[in-house]
Formats: sequence, C-alpha cells, structure tokens
Amino acid sequence: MIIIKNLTIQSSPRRRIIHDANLNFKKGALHAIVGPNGSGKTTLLRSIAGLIPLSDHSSIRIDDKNLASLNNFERAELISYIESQHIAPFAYTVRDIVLWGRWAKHKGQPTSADHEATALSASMMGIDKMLDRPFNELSTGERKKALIVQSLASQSGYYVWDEPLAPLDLKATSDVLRIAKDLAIQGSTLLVSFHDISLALRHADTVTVIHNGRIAWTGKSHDPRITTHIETTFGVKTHQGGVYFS
Amino acid sequence: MNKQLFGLTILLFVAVGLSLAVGSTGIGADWEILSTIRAPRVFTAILAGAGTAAAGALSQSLFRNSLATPSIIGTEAGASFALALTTLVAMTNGIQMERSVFVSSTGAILATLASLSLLQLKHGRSLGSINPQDSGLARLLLGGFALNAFLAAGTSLCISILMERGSGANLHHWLMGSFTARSWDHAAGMGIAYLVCLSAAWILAPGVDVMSLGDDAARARGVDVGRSYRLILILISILIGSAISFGGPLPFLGLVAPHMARLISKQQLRTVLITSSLLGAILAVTADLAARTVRSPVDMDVGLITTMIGAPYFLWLLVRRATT
Repeated sequence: MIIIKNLTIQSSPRRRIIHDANLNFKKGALHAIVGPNGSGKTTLLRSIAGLIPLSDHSSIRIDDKNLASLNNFERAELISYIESQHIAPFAYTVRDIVLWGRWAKHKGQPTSADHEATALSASMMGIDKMLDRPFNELSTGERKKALIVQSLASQSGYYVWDEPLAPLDLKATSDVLRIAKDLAIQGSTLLVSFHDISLALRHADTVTVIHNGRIAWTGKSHDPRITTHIETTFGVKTHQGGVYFS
Repeated sequence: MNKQLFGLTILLFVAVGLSLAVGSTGIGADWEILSTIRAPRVFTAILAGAGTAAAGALSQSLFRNSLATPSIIGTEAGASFALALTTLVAMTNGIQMERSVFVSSTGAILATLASLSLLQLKHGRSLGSINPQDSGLARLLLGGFALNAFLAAGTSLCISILMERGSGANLHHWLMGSFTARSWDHAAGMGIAYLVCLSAAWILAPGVDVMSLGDDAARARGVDVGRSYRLILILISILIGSAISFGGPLPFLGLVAPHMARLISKQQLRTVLITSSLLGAILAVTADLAARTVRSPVDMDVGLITTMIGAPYFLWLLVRRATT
C-alpha cells in the first residue's frame, strides 16, 4: 500500500510541479498514471521512488514505512524504479546492467542467487541471448527491454516504471503488460506511466489522471466517469474504451 | 588471471628489465649505479604511472566520458601551482625545500574542492535535484577549464619570478615531469599513496559502475551518489598530487592508459583500475627510458615524451569518434 499525503513538489518557490496530491495505491495491482506531456508524471514517480526530497507537509508511506526515513539500501530494495531516460557511456554487458537491479542486495558482489534472478528475468522477456552483448550497442527498444529485465530481477514488492512502453514494439509491449499483470496477481504493486491511454484503460486496475500537476481523477479503470476526465484533460474523444482525436 | 593482464604483466617486466639495463653509461652497469640510481628511478616511474592512470580511470568513470582526465577539473594544475608557490615562498625566506607530497596533494585537493563547489553537491542525504538531467557536470567542466587557466598563469608567474633570481630551472624541470635523481624514499612514498588510494577505490568501484547509468538511476538502485563523488574526487587528488610531487605530471597518460584499458578489458571499474595501472606503469617506464636515451646523456623531461605520444593519440580518438 502506498499512501501519499499533501504531496507538493516545487522546482522554485514560484513553480509547482506537483500540487497537493493525495493518493492511495492498493497492494497487488497495476496502477496506471496518465497525463499530457509536462503534467508531472515523471516527478510524481520520482518522488514515490524516493529520489526527490519532500517538504515538511508532504509525506509518502509505503507498507506503513515513511519513505523519507529509509536509507538508500532499504529504499532500493523496497522499490524498483526504471527512469524514462538513461545514459550508457561504456560498454557494460546487458548482464552487468541487469545485475545492478539487485545492487542493494549484493552491493557489487553478486552471488549465485543474483545470477539466477538475472537468468530468470531475462527469459521472462526473451532476451537470454542478449545478456552478453554490450548494452550501449543495443537499440533504444532493446535497451528498454534490458532495463525492464533489470527491474524484474530486483524481485521487489514495488515497481515504479516511467513510460516503459514508449520505445517497445507490439510483441514486447504485450509481453510487458502480461508480466506486469502477473506480478500484480502475485501481490506486487506496479505504478506505471502510460503514453497510450487506451492501453492504460484496458490493462491497468486503476487509472490516475494528472493534469498541470494536479490529480484530475483517480479510480478504477472501468469506472465510466473516467472518460469525461480523459476527454477534458487531453482534448480527445473516447468511444468503447478507445481514444480518438476530436 | 586473464590473458590481457598476463600479457601486460610480461610487458611491464620487459620494460623494467630494459630500463634497468640501459642508461647514460651505456648498456649494463655496476651494482652501485643500479641500486642507488636506476632502480629507484624505475620504481618511482612505475608507481607514478600507475597512480596517474588509476586517477584517469576514476575520472573517466566519474564523468562518464572516456575522454575525461583529472586535469579537466584543475587537479593537476592545482598540485603544480601549490608546489610552485611554496617553492617561491621558501626561496624568498632562504629555506631550501624538497618538493613535498603534502603540498602538492593539498593543492590538488583545494583545486578539486573549488571545482566541487561549482557542482554544489548536496550534503547529508544525497538526494537529487528536481531535474534528473541536471547533475551539474557541465558547470563543473566549464569551471574546471577557467580554474586550470588561472592556476597555470599563477604557476608561470612563480616560475618567472624564480627565473629572475636564477633558480627557476629546477622547478620548471619538475613541473614538466621528470624522474631524474629519484631515491627509494620517493618510490616508497608513491607506493604508499598508490596502495591506499587503490584500496579505497576498490571498495567504491561497484557503486561507481552503477553510476554510469546516470546519477538518478544509481540513486534509485541504492548507491550513495554524493558520497561516491566526494570520496572519488579526493582519491583522484591524492593520486595526482603524489604523482606530481614524486615524479612530476605525466600529461595525457591519465587519458591514454584508462582509455586503452577500456578497449581491451572488461568494463567493471575494478578490472579497469588494474589494467590501467599496468598500462600506466608500462607507458611511464618506457617514456622515462626514452627520455634518458633519445638525447643521451641529456635527460629530457618525461612529460614531453608522454605529451608527444598522448596528444596525437587523443586527436586520433577524436577523429575516430567523429567518423563512427
């Protein structure tokens, strides 16, 4: 369970990126975050991943633990985060990269358990053959797959993924969604920002709509009231779970 | 031990053997010359080369750029300036002084700290800025550039004042890099600095590996990014400070050795540190051998040799990068 109270994030005294957000995310579910470009999705996810210092009035509790009171290792073991952007200056192999997903567990000395988790996660996404290739020679989509495998290898209870589907092809997209739903059934909690609203409505358990840093709507994905909020937030038409340009 | 390390170790032994055998007195020498002049000189060169290369490997990892060197944040310039200034002050007060590792390391650390303050690392809990892309690196590099120019001007000023008093040649020689007249004390001092810094870097290395994905990514995976930055920069300063005070700066060696290491070895920083150290030692010993044989019996500055090899290599890298 993630409980967010009065979350306000400011980049400067004048500019608020997140404005007084109050949200609850149930355990064992796939929660989608949607919103137009620049609405604050990434900042919301980064703050839940513990990467942004919170002001005194704001609080984020995960499993009844105050996020701000966790040390680096505790936080990283609890939450696995995939950033929307990364850099890759050196030719580390995909295996190296995947093992970093469990860094808080092995702290640079991977054991056989870490290698097993790596192999298992790689086979879930079908990238077994990619493990010994240099990460920085992969395509954008392949890199994203590797980072998703890295996150899966962490075997954390909470997954926070920032637009993981953006560079993926159709097959990989359906694989990730299937894996995400399986993880949710097994009791993990996933917070995933979606570029494609139709996919969010169809596959997620709940959808949170964020608009100009404010939470416009949060609720079950099959709640019919959500369409109004999506139409006003994005300026689009919805019809039978699909989204169309007006 | 893998093939590359084995090959490099053999190469180092060959270079050391040659270096010990050849000198201004021709090939071969008596035990006296070997044990009091050549051997300490060769071992100082090995350790200064290894230290400079290790500092280069750490810089490249920390700045996530295989063309980075410790000099880009003013570390080398700071050490040189500190040595030049203290020599000037000591001469003015009529004190004869030996170049001191303490002085040059302090200079290197101060210059690095000046650069660091530009980076504005957050203290205490290392949490990032609001913008994940703003790690302040660009600011650090630009600040380092200005700091370098300023410190180099200061060093030149000190040298020219000393020249006017007829005693600048010695300092000038140091600052160009030279292993002339090294004693076992120098080799031991450099050895201690190298071992201490390498051990500390060894502990931090796995976290620095993760930092290659980005500060935010590393933080999310549990790495204390702020602490890694601070400690690694201090290690770089001590390595460079001691290499400069015991052997003088070895320009471009800190760039070339780790870059070659990343081309031939695995990418893990621990492996890169060992491979770079071996390469740095080989290059330094070979450059020193060249420095004292090419224009024998005149001892050339070893820094000139490393620059003459390193600068074209750097340009070649730039061109190759632009074409691939």
